Amino acid sequence: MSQAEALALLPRLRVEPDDLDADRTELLRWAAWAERFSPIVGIEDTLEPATLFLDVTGGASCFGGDEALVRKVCDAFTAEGWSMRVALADTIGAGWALTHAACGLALAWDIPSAKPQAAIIGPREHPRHLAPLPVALLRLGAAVVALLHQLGIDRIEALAALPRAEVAQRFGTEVVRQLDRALGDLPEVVVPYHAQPETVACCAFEFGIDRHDVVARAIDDLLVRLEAILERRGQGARLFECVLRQEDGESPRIECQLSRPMRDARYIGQWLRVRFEQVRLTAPVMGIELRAVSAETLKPTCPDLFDGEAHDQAEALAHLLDQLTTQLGKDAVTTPTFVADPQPEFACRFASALHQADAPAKGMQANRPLRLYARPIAVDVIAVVPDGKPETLRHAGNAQTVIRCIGPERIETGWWRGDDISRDYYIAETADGARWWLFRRLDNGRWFLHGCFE
Amino acid sequence: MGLGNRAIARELADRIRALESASRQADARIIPLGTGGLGPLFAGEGLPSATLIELLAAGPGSGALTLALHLAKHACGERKTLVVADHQRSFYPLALARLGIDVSRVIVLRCPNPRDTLGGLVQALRCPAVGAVVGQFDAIAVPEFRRLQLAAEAHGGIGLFLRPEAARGGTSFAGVRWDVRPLRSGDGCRRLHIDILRERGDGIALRQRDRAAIVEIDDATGAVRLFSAVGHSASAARNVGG
Repeated sequence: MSQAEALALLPRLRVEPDDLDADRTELLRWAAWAERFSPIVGIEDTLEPATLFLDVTGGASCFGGDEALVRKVCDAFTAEGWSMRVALADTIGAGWALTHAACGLALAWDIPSAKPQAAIIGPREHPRHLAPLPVALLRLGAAVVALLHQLGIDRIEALAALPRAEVAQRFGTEVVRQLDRALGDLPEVVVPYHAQPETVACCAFEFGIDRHDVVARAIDDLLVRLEAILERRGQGARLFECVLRQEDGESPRIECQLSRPMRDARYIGQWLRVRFEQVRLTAPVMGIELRAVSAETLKPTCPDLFDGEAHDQAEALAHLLDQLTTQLGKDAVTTPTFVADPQPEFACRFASALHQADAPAKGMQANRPLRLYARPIAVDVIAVVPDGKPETLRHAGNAQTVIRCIGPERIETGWWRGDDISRDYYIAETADGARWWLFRRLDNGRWFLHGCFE
Repeated sequence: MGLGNRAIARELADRIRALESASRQADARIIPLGTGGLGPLFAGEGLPSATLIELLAAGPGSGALTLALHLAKHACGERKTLVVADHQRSFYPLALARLGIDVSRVIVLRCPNPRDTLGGLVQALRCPAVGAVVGQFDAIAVPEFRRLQLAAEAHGGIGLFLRPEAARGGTSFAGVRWDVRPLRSGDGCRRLHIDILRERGDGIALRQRDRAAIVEIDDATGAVRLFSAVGHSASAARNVGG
């Protein structure tokens, strides 16, 4: 179903853009969580991973056998709100194929108590279960799968029956490799993902501290410790979070967000101190936790031999962004990003300047005003002919003759957006030389001022 | 004030100007505005760096922001960043490409409090990576104005401020002050009448000048150029029948 169809059926539907990075991060988080079932947990190596691999070789007995382990995995994920499919098989390829097989597929063993569909394939039984499955379940590219279909090779058993050398020659070595991996003729191992240990420095006081300067000094010391931890790992972070544990149970939280990953205690400390000065302690502080959130590898920077000025300017700009963000907040320091949306109020967004590298934006050449009112202002307009150009504009109590008018430029949005618009825009120059951007709603003929060419 | 006190005040003022001009000359430079550009509107035939420029405009839709952004574009050149204050939350950057401004080098401060925004502009002007800041403020307190001026002198940045007509009589640390009035457009160009109320002459001292010119903005290309030669304000007004 297309988005337009879905919105037509359910206008209040919330639509979120596909975010592959966020999906991957979330899957990695669950990979770390799943280490309770196996020390080797990995995710599939694709651009859009959606599968967790757990190597449970020799480990099922700790959970009471294969069946008990699968049930525990299903129960644990279901309790966290996930719907899922689980397969236990000799090879990664067989497990992947069985979990991705169509719902109606007859599985070797269903667990009646668990809502998720689960299957356990006994030792050396996987070739039999793979045989009737489509070749697409060998994790092959769409082009190869289409070619195999054209030649009538729809099922894995048909592909497996062909001589490997000819298959490799005709369809590429990747097809043979994936087939052999699924059947267990070629080894494939789970590449384990291990979440980095949390980068945190903390301290606890014997007695509650209520002096701002002493707490600030303790934060500085923690920053030095955190810098040493990050330096050992070759990492930095863009976000530092400081939690103050108070005697009354309250835990005020301050954070410092940076435009690039850093670990320099003095640099981070100056911004964290600005934030700390804005905190009002309601009770003595018993302990402090300082955390580098989402630490990342710090790449060494080297100034260009022939263009040192560019490097210096980039450093100065990053410093300015950190400073402004600390003082004004990240929502106040922005860079414009443009969206291909015909409705003027949605065509431009302001994103935090801290992520400006992710938001390249190109303007448009159409004549647009430099000021756009968040809410169009209703105005009285006199036109000589119905639906014609404005002749007189009455705004803020003043009537102005329109001496020049460019338009109309019709802007319409589709009905599937819910509050669709249909407007005729004009650039109107009044007798005093001022230029306005106004529109007439086509549904009711009312006029609105939407901006000015300041 | 007695005659003696007046003489002392004048002498002190001269000494302060001499001190200020000496500090300015160390980093001052003239930014060329191109052939047919607005260079003749400035004493040095170009945009003076480390300067605050005030554009007094009668009301919205006057074209003063377009003019300010045009000057800011030249101040930023190919590398520096432009910072725009938008506490009114009405700035619409979609039009910047038409003015030839690279949007990826624009930072917009959308802090609702004008005072905090001014503080942000002071920090921005102190940054060597920032070529110009642009903002519209009804009121700027004297200490804030002074901080802006000192910040501009730190690294040669240019501060462009749109002010209402009512600010004409107020204290200002701006080295250049123009009164911008929109005129009737013609030949596919928008025209603005500029009264030069104040200009910094050759980095030495402020001069009060009675000069004016007409600037036109091409509707099709967004190019800004001088329409009339810079002359006495009365003659400029006659050029357009104003």
